[in-house]
Amino acid sequence: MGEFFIQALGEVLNLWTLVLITIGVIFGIVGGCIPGFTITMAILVAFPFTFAMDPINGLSLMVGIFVGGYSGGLISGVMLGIPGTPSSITTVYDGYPMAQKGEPGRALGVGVLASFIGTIISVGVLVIFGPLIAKFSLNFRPWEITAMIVFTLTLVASLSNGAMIKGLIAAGFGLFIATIGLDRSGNLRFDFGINEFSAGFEMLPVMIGIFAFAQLMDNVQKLNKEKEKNTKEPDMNVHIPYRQIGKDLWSQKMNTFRSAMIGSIIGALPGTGGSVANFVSYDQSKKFSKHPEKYGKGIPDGIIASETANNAVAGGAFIPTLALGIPGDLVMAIMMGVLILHGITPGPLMFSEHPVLIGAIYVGLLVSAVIMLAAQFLLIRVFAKISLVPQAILVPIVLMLCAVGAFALNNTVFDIWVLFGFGLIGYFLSKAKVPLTPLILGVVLGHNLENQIFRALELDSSWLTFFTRPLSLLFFVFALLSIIVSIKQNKRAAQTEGGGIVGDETDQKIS
Amino acid sequence: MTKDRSLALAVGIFIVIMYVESMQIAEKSSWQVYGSAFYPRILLAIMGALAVLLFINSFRNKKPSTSEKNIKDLKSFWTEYNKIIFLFIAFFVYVFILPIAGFIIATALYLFISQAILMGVKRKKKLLLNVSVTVITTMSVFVIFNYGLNVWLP
Repeated sequence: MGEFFIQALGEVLNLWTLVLITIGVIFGIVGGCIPGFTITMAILVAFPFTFAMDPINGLSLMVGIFVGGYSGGLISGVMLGIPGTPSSITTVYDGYPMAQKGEPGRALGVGVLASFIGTIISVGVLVIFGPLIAKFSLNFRPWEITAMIVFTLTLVASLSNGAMIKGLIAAGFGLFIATIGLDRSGNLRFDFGINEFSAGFEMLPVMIGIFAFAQLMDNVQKLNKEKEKNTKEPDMNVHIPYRQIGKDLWSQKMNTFRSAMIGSIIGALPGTGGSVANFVSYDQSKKFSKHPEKYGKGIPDGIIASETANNAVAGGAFIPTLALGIPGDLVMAIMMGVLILHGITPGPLMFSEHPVLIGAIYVGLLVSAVIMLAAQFLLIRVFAKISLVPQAILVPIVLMLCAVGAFALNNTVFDIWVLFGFGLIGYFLSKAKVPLTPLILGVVLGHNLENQIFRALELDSSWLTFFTRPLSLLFFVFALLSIIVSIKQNKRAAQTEGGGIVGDETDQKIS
Repeated sequence: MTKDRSLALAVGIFIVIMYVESMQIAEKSSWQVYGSAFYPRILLAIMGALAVLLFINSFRNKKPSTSEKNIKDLKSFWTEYNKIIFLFIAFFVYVFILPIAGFIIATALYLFISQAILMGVKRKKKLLLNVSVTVITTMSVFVIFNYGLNVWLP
């Protein structure tokens, strides 16, 4: 490993790449700290800027945003009591009370340092387990890969609280969208006689359209409703007590380590992410604590559990994306889009074919963590002010940047129409409470799934082979189990709450 | 009509349209294991089965949905959704005039109008904020893409 690591170090540690990472981290923090903007949106908006870059620079920028974003949510959480991203909801539980008690600097400092440590530990997990899993998955043949993709999609759908059927329909719809255009035998499908359809839809405008419009329009609606609630401008004069936060972290060694592990593992699972990690970690930390009654009243333990875990997702999430070529969440789906755009197919072969790029991701994550720490400590007051940017300014600018991004892909206005069309679809689906993550993952994984199924059938025309190969069978059993468990949970929830548990919970799946 | 039921019906209509269109796909050739229409039709079948399930399920939950009230009360629907409808229209017009008017004019117009929809133009301070955001954003995006990234904008 050593050699390519040093080579990667050389690639990343040049001025231009470092500048890009810094821009990425700052943009990520800004994206994370503005409530309703989300990390996913930050990454989508930045995506078009990477078109003209080489893969390492493009990835570095994205990695910077990723790391910055997960640590940005804590700022508005602590200062305003509104989590900037769903990944920092439990940070508010203790961060806001602590700030109210007159220690906003301590709350922010502990959060930032915890985020930093979480990122570093999770990179360690990635470095150790990434290559191992990739090596193991080299044995996967088309049958296993098919089963694994099916499992990922059913798992993501079944994790959409109380909306599993709709989640599965969404996944099917996503897979279907990927069939439009020329197929692997060169036959046209679903082109409706329209010339532009024959190449199929570009993944990017479809993804941005579905996600961005639904999210931003939802923000506008919330803005309508919350007009009366005028948030008071908080005191931005924050001083960080460095010695105190060092002590806080040191006294919470075990908590920090446990939270980082929880975050890394949850990050590696498909369909989850920071939004799940911070809840699980907070809960576990409370269970292990000697004084659980103090949680929620403003103790550093809670902030550490939440912030370490959500940043640890960063390293964990890269494992399935790089080692298996299967992204577990929206952010990773976009990251995969960056790689594909530059002609690199993520998957087990990437470790042997592009070792330097893998090394660059490791180094990029580490460098981002350091820059994040510095940027947060130096500029935290600025970030806190930015988190107050009104949606009325934000929404038009982001939609315009989405349009520019879609256009820049191929220099055609058609791609902006695709963006608009899927924007409408995404908005209506989200109004019908259809989870959007399975839909987007369906679009991303669609081509691969079809290819794998038919490669398998060309090798062996019997469908039974999918169920006679042990690993493939195992994944199909997992897929079935994820559905059964979800049905059972829904029934239980329906009995206790009288049905209709969808609510806002579905939104929280997006980190 | 609950949301789930309308969704199930919409999916049904989608499947019918796509199935009819799938007849246009070339027949199976001798070297293919299955024809090109085979896989998308499986997907349509799965979606269809799920839509039927959703449809049946929608009768089980008797809880009245909020969407039913909306139809009766057009006025509250309008106050809740007018901005969103206007925003979609503004974006539609933006894409439409982009190739005709060029990036700078179209974008400046779009940003100004969208912000006006969201925060109004009555107060002078807001109007000033709107105009300055519009000008700065349009110009910086144009400069960054055209000169920094060498992406030609219309």
